[in-house]
Amino acid sequence: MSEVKNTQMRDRLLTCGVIALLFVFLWWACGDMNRDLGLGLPRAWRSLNGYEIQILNLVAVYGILAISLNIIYGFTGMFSLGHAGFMAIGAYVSALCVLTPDQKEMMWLIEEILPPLANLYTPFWFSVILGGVVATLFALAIGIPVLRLGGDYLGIATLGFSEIIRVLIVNATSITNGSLGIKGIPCYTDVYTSFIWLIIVTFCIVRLLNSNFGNVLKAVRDDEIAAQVMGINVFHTKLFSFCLGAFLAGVGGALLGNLLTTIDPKMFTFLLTYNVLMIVVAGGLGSITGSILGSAIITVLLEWLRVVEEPMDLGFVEIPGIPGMRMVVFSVVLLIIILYRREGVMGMRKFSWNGFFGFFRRLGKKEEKA
Amino acid sequence: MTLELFLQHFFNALTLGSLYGLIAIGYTMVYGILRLINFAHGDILMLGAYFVFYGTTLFCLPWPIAVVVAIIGSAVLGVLMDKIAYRPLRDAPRISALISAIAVSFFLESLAVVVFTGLPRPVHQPEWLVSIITIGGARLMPLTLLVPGVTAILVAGLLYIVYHTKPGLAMQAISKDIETTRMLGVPVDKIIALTFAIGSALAAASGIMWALRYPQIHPYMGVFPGFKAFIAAVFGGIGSIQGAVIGGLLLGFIEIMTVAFFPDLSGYRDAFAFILLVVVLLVKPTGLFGEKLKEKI
Amino acid sequence: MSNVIEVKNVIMRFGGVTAVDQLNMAIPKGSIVGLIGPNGAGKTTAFNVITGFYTPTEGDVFFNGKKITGTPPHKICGLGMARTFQNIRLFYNETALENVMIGRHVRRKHHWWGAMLGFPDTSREEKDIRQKAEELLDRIGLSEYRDELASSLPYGAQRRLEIARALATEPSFLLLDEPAAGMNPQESLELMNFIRQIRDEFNLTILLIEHDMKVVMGVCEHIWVLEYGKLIAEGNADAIRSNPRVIEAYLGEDVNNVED
Repeated sequence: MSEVKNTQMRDRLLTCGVIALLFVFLWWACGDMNRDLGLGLPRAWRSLNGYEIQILNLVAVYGILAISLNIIYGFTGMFSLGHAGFMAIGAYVSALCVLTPDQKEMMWLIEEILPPLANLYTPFWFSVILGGVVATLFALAIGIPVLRLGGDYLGIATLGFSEIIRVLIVNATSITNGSLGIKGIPCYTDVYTSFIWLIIVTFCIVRLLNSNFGNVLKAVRDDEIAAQVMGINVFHTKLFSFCLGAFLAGVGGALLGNLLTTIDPKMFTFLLTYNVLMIVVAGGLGSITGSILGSAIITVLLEWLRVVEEPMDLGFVEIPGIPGMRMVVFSVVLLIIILYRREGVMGMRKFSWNGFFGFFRRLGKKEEKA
Repeated sequence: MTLELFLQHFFNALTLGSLYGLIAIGYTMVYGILRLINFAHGDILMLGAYFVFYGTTLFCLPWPIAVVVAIIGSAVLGVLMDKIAYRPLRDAPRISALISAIAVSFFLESLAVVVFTGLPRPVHQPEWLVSIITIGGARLMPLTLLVPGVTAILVAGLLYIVYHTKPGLAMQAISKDIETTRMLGVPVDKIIALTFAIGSALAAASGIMWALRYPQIHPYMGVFPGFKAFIAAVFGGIGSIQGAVIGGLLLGFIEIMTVAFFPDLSGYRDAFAFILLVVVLLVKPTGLFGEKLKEKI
Repeated sequence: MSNVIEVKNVIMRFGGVTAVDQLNMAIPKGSIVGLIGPNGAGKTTAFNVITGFYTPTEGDVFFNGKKITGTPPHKICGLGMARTFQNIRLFYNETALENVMIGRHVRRKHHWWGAMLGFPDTSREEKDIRQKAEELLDRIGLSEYRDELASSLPYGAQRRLEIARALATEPSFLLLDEPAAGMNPQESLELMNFIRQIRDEFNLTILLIEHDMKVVMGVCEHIWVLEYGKLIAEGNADAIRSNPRVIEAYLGEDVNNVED
């Protein structure tokens, strides 16, 4: 028993250590370390530039989004394509909450802003959670009719929903400022904020999934009929998972809106959903670790692949850039993963320190043999 | 509203509804057999339209030949799609096939952006199709009569194939019980490929007519028609061809007539289908002509 | 109320086919009883009616005197009924322990947010679920497979795991759909003892469908015989064995020579 306790203690310490390291890295990355400690670091040690920091931020936000989609896909076996819609809701709700009344009066040009919204002004953290809550309400409205029948049509219904949300945003000018979008959202999402959100979300979700509730979700995924016989209300379980995913999508959307400071309906097309889907599938359906790894890999790759779209000068010959090629590459990769390596990077495995050390031990042994 | 105006709306609705119906057939046939929502179906529609566009402008083919080439090309594409992306996943968890479907759709769309550019292109409408004629006081384009006419012929042909030929009977058998049908010696994979070919050909036909009716093509033009046609298929009762056509027509009428009578709602037109879906699922989930599908315990 | 289950005039039609026709059953508390009949006689349909998967076209089912017709399966499970399936339905991507833990879910009291935020009450309940599941695996003799994926278990162990999972829901009434399917005579014999043992240990009433006449005749106190959806005979093993209609229904299968 004491051995189990010791391992638990060790794992906790290691996890805290990694989180601390992460924050030291962030501290250095955004240049605060240099300033706070007054270090005259050499050029090679310079902090990351604004573009690189933005990518770091995106990794964290996409991590949250990927976790949220993975709950729906990997753990409950449902197919939803509505993430862009839920993100749009989260982003708009949060933006409406954090803009000052003066800003709102200036920005709504086509139509006056709806009076109760004009004076709405809340703290940032509250606006993010409210964004998630409103997204959840929408998810309930879709989920109840669609999931009651087993959820075969969830994919198409949510795809339609996320497109129609954009139609609504364009038309409901008095709330959303229509196609002009919202500009000048105060940028509350710095690297610390986005990673703190990521850590909180990961912590809560991992706890939930490691409990018996996680097993219940997987039971519904694997065999609905057997799950019913086990006294599991399949409809409620699916609805719960769908709403939880939507809540986190709303949270992610709110963070994204605050990160980019500008939102408009064109941002939230289904391409955004595809990005998140790609991360989840590449990282591994049913693995939270995979989702976080996937978000780091895919976000960086997506930026890196911009090269393909820009003209390349090889000195003697100039290759013209192919706009849109990135997406072709990505869809092919997605197809190849689902056809040939369905489990993605991590499969259904989850990270544990025991597994981590075991991996290195095995690696060591292999090298010895060689 | 004058009778004349009403007749115009009526024919517009009939045209739109026929197009929805034609697209819905492809969804309903594939879903009926494989329980798979073929997300790439709308993109086949888009490609069909592009094939004709490039056939007539770039290769200077006469219209009829371009149309035939486009339809055959789309049918081949549908079969390839099944072979590459869906067949390897027949025994995999259902979600894998769905992800594969969305990946194919994503691929076709982004490929179209690369090859055809993302800009919308205007489509040249042949003169005789759009010169206004007057029938019983209503001013109409021949196109609005042509589309329902072509649809009726295609649907009649399809119904003949499904109910009076061997492959058609095999399709019906597969949709009832795929394993038993396989054991009876029916080449199941071939029949499924045929289903994809027929569905894609009909999608291409509707795509071409769509491009003529709303004279513009772009890589994402198949998304909304596809989504709405699927709802039409659910409305009519998924798995039923007649249901898909009737569902499509009804949806066309709902969209056109609601906007005709309540012009204020025109901005929300695309949302009607979605509301219809929610209502159908709540009130009559099996649709108008559908049978209840029950999993074997 | 000494009858756990009462099936009254149940008729189940699918389209034009009558799968179960005028079924009447009354199962006394604490008994082990059987439902037999040739293939396609409607036995599994009767099971599905009792466990709530089908709502009968006519007639009613009573569980401990309470009418449960039309109640969904998960609620019926909550009332204390559990079952296994003819073709085993485990959660194959989960370990044996997790399979049993899932069975405990229906008896849990705390909500998901407690688990998410780590409330002490919920954590205690979590531990309790795990402990009870481990105990159950022990009692059924499956503890060696505790952390194995259900899909990697040998066939016999999968059958027993399905029963263990059903027991985890704390049923008072257990339905077994062909528990001896695919077993050799030695295993069937062990199964008979096992069924009696769990009946006594867990205070169960057990209804089983079985093709293996030896098992049915050996373990069941009362037997119902279905043919083409109709009840053609009922009684104890001796009465069934000598019933001419049963012999006729099983023409080709020698009901009389099952003792050897």
